[in-house]
Amino acid sequence: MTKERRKPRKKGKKHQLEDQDFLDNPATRTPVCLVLDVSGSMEGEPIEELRRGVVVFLEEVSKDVIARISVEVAAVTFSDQAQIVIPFSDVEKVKMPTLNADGWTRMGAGVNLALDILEERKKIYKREGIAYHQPWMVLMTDGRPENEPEEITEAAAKRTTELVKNKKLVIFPLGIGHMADREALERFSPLWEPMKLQGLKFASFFRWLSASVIDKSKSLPEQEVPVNTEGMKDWAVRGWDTYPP
Amino acid sequence: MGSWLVGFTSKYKLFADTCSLMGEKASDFFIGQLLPILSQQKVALTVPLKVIRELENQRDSSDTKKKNLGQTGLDILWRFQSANALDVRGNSNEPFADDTFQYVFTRFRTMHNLALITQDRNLAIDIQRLNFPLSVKSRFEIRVYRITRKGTLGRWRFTDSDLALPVDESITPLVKSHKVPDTVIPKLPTKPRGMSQKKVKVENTPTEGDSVKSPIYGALTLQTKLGQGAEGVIYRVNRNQVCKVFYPHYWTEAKLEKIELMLSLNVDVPGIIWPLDFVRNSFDQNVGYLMPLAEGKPLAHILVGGRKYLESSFPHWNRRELVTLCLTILSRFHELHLHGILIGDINLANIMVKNEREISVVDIDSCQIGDIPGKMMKPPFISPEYEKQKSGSLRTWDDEHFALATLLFMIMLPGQSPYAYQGGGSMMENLRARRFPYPCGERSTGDAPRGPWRFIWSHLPFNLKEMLYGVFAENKRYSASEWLEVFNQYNYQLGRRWHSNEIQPRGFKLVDPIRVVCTDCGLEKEENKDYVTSLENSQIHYVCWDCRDRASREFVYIDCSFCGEAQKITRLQAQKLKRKGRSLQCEECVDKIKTKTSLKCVECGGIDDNVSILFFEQLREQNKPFVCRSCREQWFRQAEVKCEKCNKKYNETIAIIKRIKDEGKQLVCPKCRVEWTKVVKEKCTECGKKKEEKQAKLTYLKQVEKPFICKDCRRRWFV
Repeated sequence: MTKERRKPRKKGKKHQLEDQDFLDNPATRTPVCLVLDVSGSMEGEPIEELRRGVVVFLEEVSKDVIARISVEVAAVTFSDQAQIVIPFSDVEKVKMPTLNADGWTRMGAGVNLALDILEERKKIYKREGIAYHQPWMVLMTDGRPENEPEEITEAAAKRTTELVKNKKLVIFPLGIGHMADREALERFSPLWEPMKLQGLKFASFFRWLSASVIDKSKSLPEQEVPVNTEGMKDWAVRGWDTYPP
Repeated sequence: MGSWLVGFTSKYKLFADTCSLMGEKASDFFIGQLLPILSQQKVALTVPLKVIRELENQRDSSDTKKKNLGQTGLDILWRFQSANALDVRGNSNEPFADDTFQYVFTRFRTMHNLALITQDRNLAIDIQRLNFPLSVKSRFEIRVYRITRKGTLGRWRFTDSDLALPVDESITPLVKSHKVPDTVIPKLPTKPRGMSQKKVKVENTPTEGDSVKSPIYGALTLQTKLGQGAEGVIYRVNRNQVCKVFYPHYWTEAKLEKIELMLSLNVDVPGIIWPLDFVRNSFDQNVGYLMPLAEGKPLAHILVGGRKYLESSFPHWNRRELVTLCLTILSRFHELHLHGILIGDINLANIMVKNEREISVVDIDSCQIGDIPGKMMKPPFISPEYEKQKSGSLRTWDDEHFALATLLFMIMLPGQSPYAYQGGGSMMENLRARRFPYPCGERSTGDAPRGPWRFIWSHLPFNLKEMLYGVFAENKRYSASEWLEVFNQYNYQLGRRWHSNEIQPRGFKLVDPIRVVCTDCGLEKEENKDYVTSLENSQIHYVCWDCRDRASREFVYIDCSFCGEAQKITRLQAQKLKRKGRSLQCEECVDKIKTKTSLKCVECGGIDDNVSILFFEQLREQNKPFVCRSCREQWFRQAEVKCEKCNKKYNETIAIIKRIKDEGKQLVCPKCRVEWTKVVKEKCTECGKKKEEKQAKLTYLKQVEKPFICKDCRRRWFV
């Protein structure tokens, strides 16, 4: 009836440490997944600034005593394909890899992959008996979905819309540069309006994001999305269609 | 005295402290009584080098009394030295890292009986306590003595409570537990006071470096910024006071009124950071308030990270200190509750802990006083009924007591939230599910989170477990005084070593231990007899907890019984399935079974809308039409028919009758059918070999008078 087939167990120290982390550390986790556009149009300064911004984010989160043990960060990039560049692991030990800007903009694939790894992570929490706050997804693009079958983009948008409406996901869509398509981002986010970044102020945005995540890790009620709207002035553009000065 | 001392010195290694050598009756004892015995037995009195140095310091001081006493001490040691009865420790060629008595006694307690002569009560307690570490047991003893007024050796005697708690009169004593009759706990108003949310007019908001005025305390300067919240900024003003300056958008008349009320009440509970006075800006407008500085680390920083963070903040803490911390917190909260003040936002971040007996509760301006509401509560301290309430409404005792119970739970199982369980979901989902996974007596759900938590729970005293279970599983509530009683008992019991003093015990509480061998790792372990017998009764092999933990981290692949897809589950779950004789279904198949669709029955034309999608897909794969349940049941009903062979009556299902009639075949009773399909061996007329063939066919061939030719020969014909 039940036939056991044991696949060879991966003997890696990493696996061991992860388990021990769940046993020793009962803190309520907040998984955060960054979904980053690395299409060809991001080449040059934009992608460098983006990478620096992510490093700032990881540093700020590691600095806070509580956030460093309860916030879990992963990053997915999408251009021609979707790729996991930072899997879920200890925030302090993450090494941000270099990002190459090249290819089209398969946003749906990126979002799908991000949702998949978030689901996987939630399964692990459930198995261990660790409570978690609903995950955050930060979606950043400088254009619109390109060279992607409409069904895939539509499916991804549908998934995020369902999750956001059932309060199972918090999504931050962010547009970069004047070619960023607001409507494309709006498809993924039914409740929270997409914001546009001032120039290449990734560092400011990520600093603000880390403060919000740190506040969240101090367990605020779920009804509030703990965003400091005052602080958004540092990096957000007022009015979507303004061209850069 | 003489003979006792003789016996004593032969069994115990003696040490002396500075103060005992400096006593007025020191020489009477040391030289008069001790020295002859020591020189006769040829044993030495041990004295650290440090003591000699201290005596020399005393002798060289300007105070005549100290001078004399110091000189006396040195004289005593000189006499011992000349009699070869002195052992000086702590020379530079000695390998001791630390020449304190604590170090030396800890090191040598497993090798010798040791005795220290000291007049210092605190040192005596410390040394006496070394007799009771739980990790290292010794057959030797440590004793502590002093020189009495009469010049004899007297033993220091301590009660258990002395030994467990360091004596320090400067710390406020805890509230003695007493059952407070319910009438004393004030009734709470239910309607919040209507308050104006108009912003207070403030010309400028002072920041770092500015000076502010306080009517009582005078002019102050906002020195350094200590912290920043959602409401305002906190600045340090002097050595032990801080000042909170509100943001303009938060500083409403309601808030002002509340602080006025708080200032008018004379609440002087040590450890609660209560406002002292208003502070005003240069325009003499109220901008914030002054309060004492809170020392210590937020409880959140100590508990949330689990054992690692707790050990880095307080490495010497045991369960005794955790219980003392709970008692301290409870006594403060109890006093506030007597005043009718609810903390409201009971939160790990709002309690600053300096040590287990000194805490400070900050952010108290968000409390609820009388009919002025406070801040909203945050998960996991929200009681399940609380969710429906809106901000600005008044809390009840129930809410407060629930948050208090959650706080106590999070200290007892450091950092763990009460509703986290294996298979649970997000924190809010867990709160709504209200599933408390820890057992109490016979009641148990069995899905406590992985890790040391279930062991910690089992080692808690029974009445504490009952109360926690009552709050989280049965929706009961207990007041601070009731918790105080239970925790006082727990504290006493820990002092008597009735319960494990470890913060994370490694196994269940052994009530009735017997030795068993684990069938997985082969090691001998101790387990409770009840547990072992229950396993034997269900014919389950005993597997120790370490192996079980390991098994729950290894994975195996098992196919789903419906779709056949390999599923990854833990080895522990696979063992459980095997034991219960169940098969595995993957999540998707279970989903498919649960989702229903409606189909039309081909027989009766009726629509059945409770058909699982799995069944529908199976039908589609096998190209079978859908027949509703009632028609299917009809099919399986049997009817009596006549066999066309033997003409006997027999029962056959309607479905088969129909099929045979449709296909135009004969209706044959089972017996005849068996006859038909019986296989016998017959000689082939072609090849002459005996081959198998159906009896029915042979009879038929006989009927039509044709020869029997075996299959192989017949095939050869066609080749």
